[in-house]
Amino acid sequence: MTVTAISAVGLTLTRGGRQLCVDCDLELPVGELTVVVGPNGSGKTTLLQTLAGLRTPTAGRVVHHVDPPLGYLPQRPAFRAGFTVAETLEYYRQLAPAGGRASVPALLERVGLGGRADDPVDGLSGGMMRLFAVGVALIGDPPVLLLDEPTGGLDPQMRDAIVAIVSEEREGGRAVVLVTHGLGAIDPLVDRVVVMGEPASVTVGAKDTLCEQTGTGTLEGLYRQLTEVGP
Amino acid sequence: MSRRGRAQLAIVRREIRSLVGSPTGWVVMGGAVAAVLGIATLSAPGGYQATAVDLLVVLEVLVPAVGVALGYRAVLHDRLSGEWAVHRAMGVRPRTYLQGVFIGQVTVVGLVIGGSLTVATAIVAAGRARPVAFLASSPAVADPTAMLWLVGLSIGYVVPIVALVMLLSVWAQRRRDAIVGAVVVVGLVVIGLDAAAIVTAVPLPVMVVLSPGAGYRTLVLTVGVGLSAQGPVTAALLGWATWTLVAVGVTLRRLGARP
Repeated sequence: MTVTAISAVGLTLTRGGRQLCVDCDLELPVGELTVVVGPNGSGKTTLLQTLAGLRTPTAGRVVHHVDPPLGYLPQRPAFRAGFTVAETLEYYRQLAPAGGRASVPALLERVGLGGRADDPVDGLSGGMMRLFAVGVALIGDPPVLLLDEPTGGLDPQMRDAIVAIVSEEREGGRAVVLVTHGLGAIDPLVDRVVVMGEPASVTVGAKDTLCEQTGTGTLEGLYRQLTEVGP
Repeated sequence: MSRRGRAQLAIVRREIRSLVGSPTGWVVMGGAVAAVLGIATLSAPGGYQATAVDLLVVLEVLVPAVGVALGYRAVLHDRLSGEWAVHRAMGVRPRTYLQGVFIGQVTVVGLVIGGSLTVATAIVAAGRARPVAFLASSPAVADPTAMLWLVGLSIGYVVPIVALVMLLSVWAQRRRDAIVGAVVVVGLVVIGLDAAAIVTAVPLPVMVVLSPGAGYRTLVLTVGVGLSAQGPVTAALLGWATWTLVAVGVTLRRLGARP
């Protein structure tokens, strides 16, 4: 039986007077990876923020069937200067409802920053900052991970590290939602797809079903077909 | 400790460390302390009351300036960097977050102002003129109560100022907005609201409610120094409370509606 972590009912989103989706229903099951794809400016980040409860939808509602915390990775993460990497993660551990099961050193090790604990957090490179922000998203053992462009601008090794973490979290029973343009790397892991096209056309479904319906074999093919971006 | 209490304490600690750990913070705090101690040293021979009046003129500008300079980026930075969104996703309520930031800022600004004024009181104690017996026995010269009131009331003045700074920090969309807004807040609190009240010839109690700076002046001159016997003390306190509650309320509302 599928257990839903977050559901959206009759969701309508607008930004700057432009409709991004209209009367859209969406379910995010636990233990599944949902990917949100679409052209730049199609409203992927707005949808992710709405699912996280950070924005109020124009119409419809978002229901969280799980308790906080939710793990959230912003599109361009940055952290306050004047703190080390370990201090910043410890700060977020204190904010988490249960304090987080994983220790700070263990979590830093997991995201590949074990040797950077004492570095200034604002001195991390762009890629390392993203890895660190994934660590922050994981700190409270959240049942849901909402990650905005987690692999954007990363070198192949860092990208693989993020994909491995996402895979482990999905296997561990978390509902994972990704906004990404790096479709190839995560294609084998994806269970469900939300394709945000223009104008305000949103297609939601299981990846295998959508691929079958569109006669495409890959996530990228599906994306191109549904957003009418020809090769 | 409850989850909310633990989170709030963490936010307070982070805010305090952010303020005292930045080079800008040291420059601002150092400048404020130097200004207070410098004036206290020059005014000390005149005794406690004279020093308190001399300091009042400077503190009317200094408290808003220090509050704005230290605090205008706090919430703004967290919003622009996505850290506020991470807090919210983790289940931190806007109220918990704002209370933490507020307490942290009031603590730091209050310590800078209150600490430097306490040292200033000691400077007056050591440096006030002693040769003339009747002057030394005058309460205006020999009684430190005026300075102690100045310390307490200045710390109180920090509260509405920090509330206004937080509102500015939530209102601004960019750092440039915040800097412009900071100048406006200092200008309004120090000159603008007083000037508007004078131009429109509103009664003194109303003016004191409208202007936190006028309220501070009234409280110090009436309660602290005792130069004014019938200043509208209640109106001044009401003004501070109103500014604080309105600013915090609007800040909370605005912060809760934004990722």
